[in-house]
Amino acid sequence: MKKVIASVLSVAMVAAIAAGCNKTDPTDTQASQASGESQQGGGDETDPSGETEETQPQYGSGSEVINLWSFTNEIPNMVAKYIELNPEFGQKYTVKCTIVATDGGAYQQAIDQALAGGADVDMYAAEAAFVLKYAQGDMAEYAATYKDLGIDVDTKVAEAEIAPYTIDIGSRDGEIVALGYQATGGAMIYRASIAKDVFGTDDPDKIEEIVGAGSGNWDKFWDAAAQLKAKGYKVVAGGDDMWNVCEKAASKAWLDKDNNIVIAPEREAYFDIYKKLIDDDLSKDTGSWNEAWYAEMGAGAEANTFCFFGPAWLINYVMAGQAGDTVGDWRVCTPPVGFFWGGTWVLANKDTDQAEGVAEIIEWITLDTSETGLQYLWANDKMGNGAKDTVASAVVMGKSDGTLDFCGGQNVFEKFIPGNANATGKAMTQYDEDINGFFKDAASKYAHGELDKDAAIQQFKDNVTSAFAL
Amino acid sequence: MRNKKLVNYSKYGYLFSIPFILTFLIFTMYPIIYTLIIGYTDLQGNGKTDWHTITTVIQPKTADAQDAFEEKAISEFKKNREKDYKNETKGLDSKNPDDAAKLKEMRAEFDSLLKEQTKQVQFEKESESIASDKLEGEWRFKATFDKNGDGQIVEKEDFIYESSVSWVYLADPTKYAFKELDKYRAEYLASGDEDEEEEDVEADADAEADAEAEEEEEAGVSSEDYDYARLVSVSLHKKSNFFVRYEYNGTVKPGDDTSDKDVMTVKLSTGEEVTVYVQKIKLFENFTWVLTNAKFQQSFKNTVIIWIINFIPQLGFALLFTAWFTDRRSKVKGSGLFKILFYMPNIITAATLAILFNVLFGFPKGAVNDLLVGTGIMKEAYRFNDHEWALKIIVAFVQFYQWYGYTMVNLIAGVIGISPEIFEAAEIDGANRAQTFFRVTIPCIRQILLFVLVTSLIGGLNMFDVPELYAGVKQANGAVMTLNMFVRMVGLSGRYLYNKAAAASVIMFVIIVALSAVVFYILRDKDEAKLKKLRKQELKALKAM
Repeated sequence: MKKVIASVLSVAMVAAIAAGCNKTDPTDTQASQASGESQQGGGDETDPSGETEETQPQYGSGSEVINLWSFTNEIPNMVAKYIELNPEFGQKYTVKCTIVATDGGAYQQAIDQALAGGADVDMYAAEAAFVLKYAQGDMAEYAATYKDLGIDVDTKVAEAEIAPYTIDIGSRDGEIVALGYQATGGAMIYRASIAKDVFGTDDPDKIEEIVGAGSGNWDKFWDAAAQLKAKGYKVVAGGDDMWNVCEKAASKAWLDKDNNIVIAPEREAYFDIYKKLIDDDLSKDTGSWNEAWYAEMGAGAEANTFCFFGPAWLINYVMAGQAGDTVGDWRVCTPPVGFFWGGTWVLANKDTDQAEGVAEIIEWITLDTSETGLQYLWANDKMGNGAKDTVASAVVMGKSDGTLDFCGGQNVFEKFIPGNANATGKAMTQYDEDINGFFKDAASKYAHGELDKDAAIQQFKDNVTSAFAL
Repeated sequence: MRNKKLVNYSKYGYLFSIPFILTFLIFTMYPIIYTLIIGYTDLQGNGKTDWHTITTVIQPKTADAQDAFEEKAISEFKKNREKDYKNETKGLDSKNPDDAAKLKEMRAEFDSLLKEQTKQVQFEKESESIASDKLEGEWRFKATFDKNGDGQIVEKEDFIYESSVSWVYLADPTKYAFKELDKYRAEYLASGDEDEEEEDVEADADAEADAEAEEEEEAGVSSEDYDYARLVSVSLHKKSNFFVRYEYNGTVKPGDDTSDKDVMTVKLSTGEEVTVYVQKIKLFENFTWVLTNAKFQQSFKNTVIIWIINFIPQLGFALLFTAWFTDRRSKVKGSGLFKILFYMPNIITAATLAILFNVLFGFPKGAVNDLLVGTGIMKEAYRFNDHEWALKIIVAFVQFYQWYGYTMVNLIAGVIGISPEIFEAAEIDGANRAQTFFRVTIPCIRQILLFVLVTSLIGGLNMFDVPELYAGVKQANGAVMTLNMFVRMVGLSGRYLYNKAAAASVIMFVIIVALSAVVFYILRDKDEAKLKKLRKQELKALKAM
């Protein structure tokens, strides 16, 4: 009996080895071995029954399959809308969507493994925080140029007057591989009632004069902040609100081409801006994306923040949900320093075998300026999600109506469109997200008086060099 | 006869060792050795950051030659087309008004077509001499090394590279589009003047459509049908070896230190020479990078500190509760329920705990801050998550909270296993509760304590889920960055430096094994070791008899 058990176990072990050997061919190069192994690991991570949120909706009923990877259900919903408007597309194609949220870098890991491992990815999305990596950086080789897909990019881009920074960021060696559908130029979103109380007016043009809109510096803004403080209001919720403006207004990227760390003056200014906020008690020192920050957007008794900085999506997707009774009490005006924040770019895999179908969808999303094009629907709240977003095509913005109830009927597009002019992709690197995290921590230490400026900057540089092996 | 009783091994027991050995090899040794191997290479996730693809090297710098050749080719092309045009228009007389109009049309058409097609005439001089099949696959470089910079040249022929080549294929416009146009011209000339204008228009449209069709077909036609291939790039990747080398191309500036780089002169088949600097990877480069990395050292310190702060109260409380629950003299009411409640925190996932404690310790509004400010202990809210020690203590507390119940359950199980006679003997000897616990219970559960200690040590050194979800590697300048978080930061985010992460993992493994071995040695059962020795000696003596 023991003999039988022992021999059965031995055979089972040998079978396990044999099965394992088939998956990894020893003559492969190490790189493909590693990516194969990591894809197996990645397969575990993106298991639908696992911890990361992953859903797989599917649209259309055709025989040709298009695989779409995204981190929110924005683009899948767009695909659903397109199939609604063009049923014959839905009859020809089935679009299978894989959605992996970006928390903890899960989306980047999943899409990296899928692309490197040769999985079936036809279309994928990339957020502004990491789009450079997929359009110009380490993963750029997997993206197809729009021209190769058959889209007449050069003429269409000029016709639609797509915002230049969208093109800059989405270009690899001068060829467009990705375009965004949103234009995320930022504006200052302020409370009209507080403005009336302190400055006597809530008219956006007058407020722009008071805060020094478009001046490129914060001098008048600080004066306004002092006035607000005198009446018991805080000008911003926390340092992070100012950080978004400083970071994307920078003229130089974090790393130069020799991988040395370069601190752009606009970003270095954040050190002093944050310190001023703390020293003069001009903010509530909340972080961002946490309870206290959301509370400042609402109508609670303690909510006394004057303004937020953000693009249209901040209004539509963040503040609208938190505003409560303050809906209608907000206005939009040009900020003192121009910036942009966020955005989603759409890319296609160069090895896709559905180039035609993918080209159709991408063109509809990014370059179609007609009234049935996605950008027009997006900008005029025709997608059914109650949001009017600023889109990349200036032509569409020009013929869209941007009046928002949230802003008391103000046509917000008038303020967001000039904001897009400030956006430039020239100062981004593919490691921005991580480097920003280290920088913010160092700035926090300096602002709260725990380190002096040189020590804080040195700490930041040490952290980045250690973490990235530069 | 006594020999046989003492030595009573089953005849087939050795068969069991086969699956055990296989399990050990597959599940323990293989991953460790593979990780170790990666730690010696320059393997990176995105693969290209440290590989400098030598496209600019192989692309011959023959712009002048190329221009000259193009000019010559274009002028020849134009000459040929003019000749064709002359042939077409031979029968037409420019003085005749009808013919003149036709001539004008044909001339215009010809001009526009010519313009388009000269754009397509692009040549790579080198593509003539390097056949495409030669570029694919393996390259063996005959390289001359100036190893020490002393002028002494060493020739080596053992550089094997894998190349990936990309070409752009172009059709010879002279062969395709005009060919069709010729056909239409011939037809037109043969058909007569009646349907002249219609056919002219048709011929134009058809010719254009044909040209377009040709272009579309180009994509699907194989390379043999094409006449010219334009070399876009050649990337060379060193075929994987155990020790992989970095390649540098032209990023060495004058004044740079080249003592650790070999200077390699590459002679191409075209006769062109190119200089490449090849840097040897040092054998333990990744391991030394990890060991000297400030973040790694910080994470090691953090791991040990957090584990100690967590483990001492954890063990203390577990022992205390064990003593109370297994006390023979007094029975705690509802002890079963308490054991369940104490074990429950272990069941809560780390993500839930992270959210819970983030809400508790949030700034400026959080439960603890509200409490402190409300009761007047502190004047203003405290930024727990931005202060190093506050963060460490919170994370250690969460770990303690999760695991004290588990430890307690293990210890209780160990105590229950002690034979009650020993306790009775202690009672008879007049030991009180404390003495019983410290002098009788604890020595008897030595093995369980060893188990608890070692598993807690291993788990503690591997600590990852709670600090990562609660704070992350960047919070408070890496105050709660543990070893595992460091490995993840280096290998699975940012630049995906698999090699360095693998080296860090191996170092972690060595540390854990060493510390566990130390614990095992300290808590070994000295008496049993002595007994074993005695028995062995006895056996030997018996055999000798």
